[in-house]
Amino acid sequence: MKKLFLLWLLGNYLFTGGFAQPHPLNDYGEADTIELEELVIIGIPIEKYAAGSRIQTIEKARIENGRSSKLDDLLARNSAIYLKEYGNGMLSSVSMRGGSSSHTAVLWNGININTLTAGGFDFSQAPIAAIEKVDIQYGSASSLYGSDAIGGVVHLSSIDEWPEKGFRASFQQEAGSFRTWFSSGVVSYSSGPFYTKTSLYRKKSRNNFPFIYRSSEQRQKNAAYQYYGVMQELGYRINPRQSLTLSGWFNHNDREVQPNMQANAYPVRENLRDKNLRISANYKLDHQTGFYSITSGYVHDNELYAIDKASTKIATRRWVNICQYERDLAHGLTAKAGGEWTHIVTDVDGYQREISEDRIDGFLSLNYTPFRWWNSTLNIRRTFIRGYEAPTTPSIGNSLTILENNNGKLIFKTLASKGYRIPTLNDRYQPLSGNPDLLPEKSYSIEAGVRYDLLEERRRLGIEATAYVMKVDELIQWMPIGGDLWIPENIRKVAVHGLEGHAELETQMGDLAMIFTGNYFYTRSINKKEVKAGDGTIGKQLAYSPEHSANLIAEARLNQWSATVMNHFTGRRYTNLGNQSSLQPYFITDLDVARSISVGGSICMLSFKIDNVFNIRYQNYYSKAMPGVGFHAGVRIDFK
Amino acid sequence: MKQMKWFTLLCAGLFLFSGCSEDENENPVSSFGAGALIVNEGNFGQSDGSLSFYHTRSDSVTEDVIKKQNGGENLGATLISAYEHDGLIYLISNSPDKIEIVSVDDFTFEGAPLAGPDFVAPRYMTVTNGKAYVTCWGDWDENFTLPDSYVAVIDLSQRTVIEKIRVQDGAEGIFAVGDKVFVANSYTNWVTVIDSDTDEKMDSLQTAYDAPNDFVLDKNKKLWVVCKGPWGGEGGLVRINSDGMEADFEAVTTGLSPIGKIAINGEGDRIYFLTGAGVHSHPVNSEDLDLDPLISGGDFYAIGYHPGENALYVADPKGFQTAGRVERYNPDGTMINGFDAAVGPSSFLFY
Repeated sequence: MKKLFLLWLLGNYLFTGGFAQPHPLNDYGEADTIELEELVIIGIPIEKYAAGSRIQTIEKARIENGRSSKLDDLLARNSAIYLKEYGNGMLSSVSMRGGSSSHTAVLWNGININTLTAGGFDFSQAPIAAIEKVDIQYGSASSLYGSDAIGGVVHLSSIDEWPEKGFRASFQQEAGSFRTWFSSGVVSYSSGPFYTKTSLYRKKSRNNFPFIYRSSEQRQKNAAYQYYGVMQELGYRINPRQSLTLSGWFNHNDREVQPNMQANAYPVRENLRDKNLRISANYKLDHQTGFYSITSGYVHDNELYAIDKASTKIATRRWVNICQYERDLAHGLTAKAGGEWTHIVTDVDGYQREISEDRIDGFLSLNYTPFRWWNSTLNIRRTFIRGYEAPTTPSIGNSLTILENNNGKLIFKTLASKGYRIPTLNDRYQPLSGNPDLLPEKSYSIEAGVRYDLLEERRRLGIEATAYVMKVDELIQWMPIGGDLWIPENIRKVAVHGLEGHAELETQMGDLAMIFTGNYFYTRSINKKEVKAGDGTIGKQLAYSPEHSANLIAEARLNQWSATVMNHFTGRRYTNLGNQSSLQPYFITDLDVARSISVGGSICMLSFKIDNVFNIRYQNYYSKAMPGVGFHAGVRIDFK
Repeated sequence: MKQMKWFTLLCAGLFLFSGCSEDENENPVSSFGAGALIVNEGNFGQSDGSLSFYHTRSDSVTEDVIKKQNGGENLGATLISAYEHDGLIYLISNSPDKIEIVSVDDFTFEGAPLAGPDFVAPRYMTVTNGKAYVTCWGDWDENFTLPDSYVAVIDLSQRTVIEKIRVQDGAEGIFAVGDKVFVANSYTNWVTVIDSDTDEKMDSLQTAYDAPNDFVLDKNKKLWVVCKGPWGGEGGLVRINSDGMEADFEAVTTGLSPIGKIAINGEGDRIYFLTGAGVHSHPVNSEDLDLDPLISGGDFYAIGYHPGENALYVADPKGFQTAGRVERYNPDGTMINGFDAAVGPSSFLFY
């Protein structure tokens, strides 16, 4: 088994010591064979069995500088993902390629952490302080990761790289508008083969931002939130071929539910308290017979929803075990096979009984590189649930290097894949309404794209464009059947076609380094089947699915100073399937200025941020106010 | 002569804004002319309830009546019900809990809404003895029941709450017969009767079926209550002799759950109610309940009878995903026409 060289985004080079010689780029668009210290494999790279797929890695600098915010803010400004937010700091769900929240698989260290009861994942509950690495895989990936991966996959990792020897600490404190406070501390120690890392974080906000309704200003009420958590990691490199890592992440999130603007004068006592515990343990062995990886995980989600004096608990526990085995079969042909077993137990007041379920997945992947310029991957995966029919989902992708020279590389990619989503536990087990025999939702998609990378001494350029077509069938919709009773049915059909454009440019001019990153995405998600006969909804754009969205980040660094301007644009969104009313498009600009100071062996960074610089009034979700301009100032000290 | 012709033409052409009355409708009360006001709940959780107006003469609909008539200002809430009294329409709303008041003539706001801690989830209204009575659910308790449901008694001239009368869980439909106010406690199988002279409970009637929801009064001065039944179970109709205050007829809707909406024709001799099978009709003097639907359909959400037009209005919310559809029918069940309203059409006021 070849040792793989993991390469970090070349953007980091600019800040850690400048460029080396330009090098040819490998199949993943990354510079190859740089003589860094040899790193032990952290895992099979996401890209390896995803030829033809569009995968975006969020720059490490964005993650480090965004530690005081949450994953939803990061994704809205850096990716081709649309975020639907039910207010500021409130529940936020992603939409990838026109899909709904439950059509994106969210994996943490390889484990699917989507909510089992209602589906989807609340991105406002993923503080960046707990995450080291974010990779976004656009398009169906059920052939690799199973259920939910219809619009795409968001890969979250608590570990980015094996820490260098020694002791490190980092402390951060930030204060901001609307009585917002953030504190975090990270301490890590590595002896080489062994390391331990502990992170603690806490954020609290009164969130009483002013907004205008019916020409008068009000202060937002009942929208305060607080979250805190701890992340603990242990790693042990048994020998250069075996490693063991253990990660544990506990997050507690307590927030009031932001009322509609119309109801703000008389808010209702409504809040959500979430406790999430996630643990993953992974063992890797690089052996002459092949490469083995075993991951074992435990996820406990516990949510309490309260309104007036009533409250209801929504909790699930799952144990996940994933085994993977990889080996070279022949020259240019590598295969990976594996299985995943998930055991689920519910503790949901609304179900009125405990439900337990086992899901077993089997998967097989082939990576074939018959010529240096042609890489092809074939994947197939199937879920087995007792008493339930789940589909088999294959995919085939190709990556063709059309042009390559010392500096640049042009790749043409294609991918065809089938995706699916098992209905949620609510869909299947809600008393009176649930239907355990609901069919899985299915998707069929094809995409094609080009990617151009250029790497020169003082400049790096990357441009990518992907066009896709996707059909989603048997979509589940809860429908009223006479008065108060609603039941879920597989009655919807949607066709999506779109375009994702992405460009990055990094240049260095003397001491000044500049990075530009931009995304534009066009999503035409069309309803193909009437919900009710004669409702006229065929051909309509789905609700809360903007046709046009874009973002652009410009960052400049000069000596100890850095300044970043972040812009994002969200197009018109309809508020229901009938498209009878819509929300205005909006354009928001944020500014971030930071200065680092060396103090002895440590670095102190002072930052000042302005959110929504132009104080734009906008709504992401109908009738939920969003803040105008806001400020924060912070200090971060890194000890090495 | 010429002037008469010109005047008639003017009336016909400008009925929208003129005060012209047509003989078809005996009591036009709005400058919009003859037709129906449709109460639309709005999208779930979005506080975007609205009113649509259907103009019978021109077979056209004016959407967003409140917004159009009030300089762009919307209702700003989920609209539960509307009650007309003495030249004003009371729009009972949730999220936020308030009762907006608009003129029956041109739907412009008439002063500040009734709101505040005395109105916790208001639902339906009636007026008798010079006072308004509004059912309110109150707060949810630990088990998601509504033990704090009450009726708010309002002095309409002062627009203040003068009394709060505790009733039973889920107080919903409310109807006055003389000085007695009947309250359907939809989370129970009880109807509470309030004496509007003293504003105190005077009696409670147990209904044969669970979840009494709403009332109509027939020509014999008998009060009909439609009961939804328990979750997933059968409901029924109960007829109350409002003098003696006891049930003198009851019939189960075998195999069906009424959704809780009921209407009565202009003569007061035939009632109409909705179930998952469609629209059912029943002559008030008959002892046999025939459950064959007059109009078949799975998801009707509103039913009303326009006494001036002798037409049944029925609304289908189309799954609440888009504007609902209203259809007009003759009393024999044949369709006249249909039109689109807004999201969640749930009741009507007729002009």
